[in-house]
Amino acid sequence: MAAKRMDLPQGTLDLLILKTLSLGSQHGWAISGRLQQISTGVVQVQQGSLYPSLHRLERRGWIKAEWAPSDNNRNAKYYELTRAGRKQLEADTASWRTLSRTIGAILDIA
Amino acid sequence: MLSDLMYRLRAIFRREAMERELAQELQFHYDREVAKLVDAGMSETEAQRRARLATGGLEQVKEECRDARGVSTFESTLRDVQYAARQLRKNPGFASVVVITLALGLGANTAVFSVLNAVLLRPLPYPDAERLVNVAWDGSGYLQELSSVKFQYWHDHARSFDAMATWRSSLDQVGITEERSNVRALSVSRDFLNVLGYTPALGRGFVAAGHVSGDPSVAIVSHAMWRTRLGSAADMVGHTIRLNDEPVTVVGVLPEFFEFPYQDEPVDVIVPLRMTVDPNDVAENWPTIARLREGVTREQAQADIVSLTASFRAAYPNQMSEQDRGMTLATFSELHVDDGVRRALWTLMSAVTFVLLIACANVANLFLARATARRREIAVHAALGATRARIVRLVLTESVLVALAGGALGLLLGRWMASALVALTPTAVPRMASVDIDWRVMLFTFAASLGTSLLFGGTAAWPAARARPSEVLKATARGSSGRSPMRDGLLVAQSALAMVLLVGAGLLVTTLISLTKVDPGFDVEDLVVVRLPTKPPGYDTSQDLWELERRVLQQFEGSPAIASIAAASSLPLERGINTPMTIAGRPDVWGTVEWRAVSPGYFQTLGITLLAGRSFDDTDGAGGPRVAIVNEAFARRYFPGDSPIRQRIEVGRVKGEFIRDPSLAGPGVEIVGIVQDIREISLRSEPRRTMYVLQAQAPTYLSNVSGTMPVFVAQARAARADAERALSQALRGADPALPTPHVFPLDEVVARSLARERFGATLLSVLAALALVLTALGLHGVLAYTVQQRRREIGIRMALGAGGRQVTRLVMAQGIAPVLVGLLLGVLGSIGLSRSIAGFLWGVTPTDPATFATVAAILLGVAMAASWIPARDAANLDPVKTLSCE
Repeated sequence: MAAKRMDLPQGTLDLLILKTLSLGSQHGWAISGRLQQISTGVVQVQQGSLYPSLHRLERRGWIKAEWAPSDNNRNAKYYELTRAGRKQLEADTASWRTLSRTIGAILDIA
Repeated sequence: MLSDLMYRLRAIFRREAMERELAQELQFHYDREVAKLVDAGMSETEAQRRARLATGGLEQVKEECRDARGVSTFESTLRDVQYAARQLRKNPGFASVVVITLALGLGANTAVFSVLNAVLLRPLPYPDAERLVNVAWDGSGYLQELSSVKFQYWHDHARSFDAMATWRSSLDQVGITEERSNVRALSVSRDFLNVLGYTPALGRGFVAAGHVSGDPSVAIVSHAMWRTRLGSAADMVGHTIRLNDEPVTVVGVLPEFFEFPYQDEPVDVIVPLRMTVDPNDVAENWPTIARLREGVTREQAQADIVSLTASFRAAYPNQMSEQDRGMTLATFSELHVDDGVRRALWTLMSAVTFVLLIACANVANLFLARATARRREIAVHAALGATRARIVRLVLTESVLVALAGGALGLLLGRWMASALVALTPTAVPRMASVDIDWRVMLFTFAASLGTSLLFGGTAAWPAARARPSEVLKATARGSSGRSPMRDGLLVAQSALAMVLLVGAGLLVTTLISLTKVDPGFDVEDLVVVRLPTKPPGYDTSQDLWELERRVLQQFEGSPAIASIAAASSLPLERGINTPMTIAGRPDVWGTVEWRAVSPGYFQTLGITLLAGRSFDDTDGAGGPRVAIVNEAFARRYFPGDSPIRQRIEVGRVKGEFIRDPSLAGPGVEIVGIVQDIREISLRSEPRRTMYVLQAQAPTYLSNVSGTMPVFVAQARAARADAERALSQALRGADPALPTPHVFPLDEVVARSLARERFGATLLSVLAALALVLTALGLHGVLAYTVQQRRREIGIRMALGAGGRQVTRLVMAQGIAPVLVGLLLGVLGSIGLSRSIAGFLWGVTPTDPATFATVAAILLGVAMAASWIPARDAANLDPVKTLSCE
């Protein structure tokens, strides 16, 4: 927990979850661990936002869920990216890149 | 899109499974978190604490996941309903008391509303009923029917109507085989069925050349008559039946659902009308209905018929007086539901609303008490992350549930109460027979149930939602005084409403009592009335009627059963007849007076004192000089300080014109006597100016106005039964073809004239009593509950030396104080509402101090009794037990 913790901008959690799942199916706890790990602790996802987000994505059909035994032999709910979810990830990634580039450019000039 | 739908459906139908999965998923996360922390070297308990903190409220996370699933509103409502139903099932006593209380209030409202709906609100039962209008003549502020000329003029000139029609109702005799029976017949103008929008079920309507004078030899029969008396014969059309001994051909059968609310009894036969349009006839007795042309609004039609008034005045100056406003459109209820009935219905509606509000306050109190008892449960919900809105919803769901149950039961109760109301209503109210529970009534009851539930549910949810969970969970039941401003407020409101109802009932009862004390001015004891129910054929002129009277009366000379007997065109206290008249030689002294055609023995039989001049005697016959007797009111009004004897009256004359029957012009009627005033119209109205004439000398048009037969009234000499038998026999002896007469004592007429007042007073008293009982139950409930809550405090007081009497006083004061405040508010409210009840009162002012004092005493007495029981229980508490049990 070296770096300062940051609040995620609205809507970006969905994108990060999709990205995390693009590497393979995961359960909720693992997703939150993974996010924390990759971001070296900058991104801290609370249960209170993670699970509603997962359920929302599932409803939209971008991810699908399946119960499967986990590494400690207990059943866990694994989430997996759907084809629609993959498309959404690409589109969202592209628009995020554009947005951040644009904002970066404006910040550099101004 | 599709997956979204599937997801939502799954969420709805496999709710339990999804709910379980969610719990498992979150549990898994928690366990892994704990395991991770333990691996990192934390103690088990510390790890659990940290993991729980990271979760941030399990219920809240679940709730947000449900929200994210997007079905939350529906689903959580469903869940709330199930939860509420479970809670209520756990507590059946509470649930049934609440449901029954509400059902009483809602039932009464349903019943009264269903009457209001049938009589005032529901459109007439015709196709495109909104296009059906009533046409009436606005004679300086009150609506009248049309004269024949007016009907013809607007029929010919108005452009906004598809059709316009009038009718006249009569009781006729129909003969199908040998036997004859009475039927209700309508004589109708040509377009009558078109205006209503009906076509006959069989055959055709009337086709006639003239719009008001049809072929007299045809008839249309009702569906009921076709079925019951004509054996549903399919070839009925073309058949001949006998109507008043004339053969008529049946040309059609009415549809089964034919309704005609303008008429109290069902219609059996429809025949073409024969109306003579006479420019000199100003009698206003043609009811008129019309069907608006397609696309024409009521406003346009109103403008159209008003615009014809000027040209009509020019063409027929004698048909309009200066003050007449002219032709106008009117609604059915404006024309046919009298103002008293309308006001009575709305007053009744307010009264039952008051009862419902009182019931509502009781239920609110029960819910409040329950909410207090469930404080901890609710606090636990709140601590687990349920939002305030969620808690309010939980309480409201319960309220809605019981209110809907109460509403459903109320519908059943209301249906029963409505039929009782209809059966007991003493006066004929148009469309009263069509009272039923239709969709409007159901909607009303549903809305009333929901409204009620919001009212009491909201009251109960408010404090529950405001409570801070931490405080509630920390506090023990100890130390609460049980006193809450909300509860006191409800008691105040209940008492105020009950007080208003009690005052209303008290005033009506006082009115009834003062009316029964009124001296009608004539003898009632031992008098028997004989009345013919219908007018048989052959009694058309005054002479015919007089002949009958003479034949009946002469049979009683020296009769052992009858001391004296008389005949009259109508009885006092029943619907009279009035006529315009002018004092002879003083053309500007004219007015409308009550008119009764009597036989010579009338005053003697009824015990009406002759004050001056002479009574009628045998020399006054059909051919003799025409004479009249007037009452004191007449003499005072037209001959102040002067004797009216030997003066003359010109009956039917107004300002030099004989408006009814020009043949009456002549020397007029000579006044030969003055009799004492009696209550002619009703016990509550002052005596009217009245003139009595002999039936033998009565103008035929007056005898025919009411279309009824003379009434005989007799003073029994000994047993009433003998007199009744003798009277019936005498009538049969006079004309064997006469229908069976009704025989009843005269005091029945007096009682009947008060039927409305008695009914109103009874009804309001019942409602006030219900209000009183509900208020008493509410008060008792609140106090009993408070005593329960304050057991400990009372125990301490008693341990410190307070006596039973002090404790009793303490508890009773808590109950009586809000009742006193409510009582005062109720007095103010009653004074504020006095205008709306003043019209029903007689012999008592709407703010009568005696009535107010009496009902206040009743309310206080009941309140004392209701609070005494819990107060006594409090006084009987054993301080040792109370203090040691906690």
